[in-house]
Amino acid sequence: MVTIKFDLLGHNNEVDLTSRMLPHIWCSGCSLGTNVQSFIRGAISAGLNLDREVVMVSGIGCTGRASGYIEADGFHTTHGRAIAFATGVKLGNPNLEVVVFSGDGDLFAIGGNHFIHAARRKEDLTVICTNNSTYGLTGGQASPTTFENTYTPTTIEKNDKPFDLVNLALGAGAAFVARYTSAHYKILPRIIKEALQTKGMAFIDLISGCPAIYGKKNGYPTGEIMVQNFLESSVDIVPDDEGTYLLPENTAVHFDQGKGYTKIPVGIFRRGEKK
Amino acid sequence: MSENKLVEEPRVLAGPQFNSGNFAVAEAALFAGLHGYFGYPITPSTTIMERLASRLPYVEKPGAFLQAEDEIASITAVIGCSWTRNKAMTATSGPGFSLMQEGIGLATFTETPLVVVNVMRGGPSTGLPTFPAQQELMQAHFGSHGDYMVPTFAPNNVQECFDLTIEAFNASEALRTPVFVLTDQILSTLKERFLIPKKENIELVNRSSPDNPHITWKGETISSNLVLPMNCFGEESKAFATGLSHDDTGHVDLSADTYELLMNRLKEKILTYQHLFPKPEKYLIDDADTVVVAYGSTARSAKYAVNSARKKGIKAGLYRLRTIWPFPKDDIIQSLRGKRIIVVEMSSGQLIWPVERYLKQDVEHIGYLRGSVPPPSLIRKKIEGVN
Ligand SMILES: Cc1ncc(C[n+]2csc(CCOP(=O)(O)OP(=O)(O)O)c2C)c(N)n1
Ligand code: SF4
Ligand SMILES: [Mg+2]
Repeated sequence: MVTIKFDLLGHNNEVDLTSRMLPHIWCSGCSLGTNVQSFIRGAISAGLNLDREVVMVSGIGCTGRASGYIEADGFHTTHGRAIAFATGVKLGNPNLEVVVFSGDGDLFAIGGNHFIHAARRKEDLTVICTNNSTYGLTGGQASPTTFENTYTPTTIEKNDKPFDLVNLALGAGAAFVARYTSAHYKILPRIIKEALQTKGMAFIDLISGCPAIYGKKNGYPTGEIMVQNFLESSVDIVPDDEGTYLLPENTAVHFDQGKGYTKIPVGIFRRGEKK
Repeated sequence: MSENKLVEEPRVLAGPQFNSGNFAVAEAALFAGLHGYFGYPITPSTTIMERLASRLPYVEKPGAFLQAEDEIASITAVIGCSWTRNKAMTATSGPGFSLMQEGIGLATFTETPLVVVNVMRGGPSTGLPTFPAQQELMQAHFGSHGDYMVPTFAPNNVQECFDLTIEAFNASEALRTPVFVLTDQILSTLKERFLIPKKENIELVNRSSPDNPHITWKGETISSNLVLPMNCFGEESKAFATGLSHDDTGHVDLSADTYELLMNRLKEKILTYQHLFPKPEKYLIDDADTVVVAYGSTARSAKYAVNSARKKGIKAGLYRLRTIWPFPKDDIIQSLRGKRIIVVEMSSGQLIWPVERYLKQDVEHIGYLRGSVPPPSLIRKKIEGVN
């Protein structure tokens, strides 16, 4: 893995948070805190003025609340419609840096159609999915990325096969596709910077956890165990000329009930043209 | 490059035209300063979209046009575009209007100026795609969940398709609200002469901002306590909005006081300025014993019937609504109470609800469901008391 000298680690993020909205609603141990931090650092390292140049768009869910905590222009849309809203913003004012920051249920269940079409149309958006494989806000029900042999209160015995968001994004035509976990907070700002600077749709499958509900039932009951689990099961992809690292069997995330994640292929799967 | 490209036409056409209601709606939107159109094809609204596809990206001060993946995306993108301080709209028909209800609720709650044109066809479901109806009057009021009020205007000729679309943009900007224009399949294709006025003769309103909090419309200053100045994206003041209950900064606040204040203000701002909305047409009602209440294409047939009845010496009149919501209840009570009333509509019974409710008297009804306007003879016979 690349070693990074991240000179902004000392940056005081407080000015970039909407302090009057704090304390936030998120549980302790949740990935969302570090995900927001990683995003802010990434945007700053991309040279963006959060206050004036960035529009944070989110849908509904625990993740959806992020747009209200980041001190940028923003909009907390209806469930699933973050990308549709972002489409209108970008076409209305192409000078704005439009970021969609939302959850796996929001972006890939109810909002899945908007995602594939925005990717196909090569819309210049940065889409960051806090993919905790569950509907956190509504209490741990199954999402399109819930793993087969895990417990949810709304599926019987076994879940259907989850979406592999990396492959979905590659197939739909995203210009930049990466996957990391919320535990990669040191490298994520650099990845987010690259995503923001890519022309066309940049997508990050940000593997995250909901230790309070889904994790508790399925193998990572605390934030600490979750971070450990992410770091131990992450495997850097090894790009090759034949593209074998892009085959579905090599991009899929694996999970075992009781053990938590067993394999998370991480890295940049596709790089796009710079703006 | 699109074959549709019509570079030789200026953004605003001038003078007399001979064309359809849908053409007039599209030209009015350009006249009003439309910047973003997002839509999904559906008969009989599609020609509005096609006209704008061939015009909006190619005129001076070009705007953005997108055929979205569905109507949910269309309305939501219109909201997004509006938050970049641009005028934005969509047009649709029955099934698409149903899909847009979620976004319409979001637009009312986030006080987003935008215009939705619903060219009505027969429902429910896919219904009668190519025939007219008037079955979305109640949906325009109650279609999305929660309490809200969207100003709703209804033209009945091609000139009014132009004029009321301009009014709709002005009302949406002045009051920071979505506004509906309800037309129907007949108006969509009906060709008539209409006039595009000189620019200097038409007032165009632009929404308020923190720098310019006091805007006027029709000579009236719009209260910045009722209609908060709008911060838009990329400007000096932070712009944030949510579909959750929120305080005046746009941030989440679920407290009882905040929610109640917000809900009351949203209602108040529409009701306070409803006298600026298009007024009803009152045709021969002063001495009339029998008055037909109608709107849209149906009112054209009703007027013909009223004239025929008058020729036979029957004192008949027509009360034609041009603003449906908020319902002009005071005016209708003052003008019509005590007279014999016949509500005529292309619906089994929607307009009759508010008429009965406010007049508090028996009302006769023609609910015509044959995919066309009720013929004048049918209405005349009802006026004459022949069934
Ligand atoms: C139209 C609609 N349907 C259902 C809901 C209820 N709901 C709120 S959040 C949510 C799921 C959120 O899951 P995800 O996007 O993964 O976000 P997370 O909470 O996991 O961050 C659902 C189903 C809603 N708000 N709107
Ligand atoms: S419920 Fe889960 S996803 Fe939501 S804040 Fe708590 S830990 Fe995070
Ligand atoms: Mg989730």
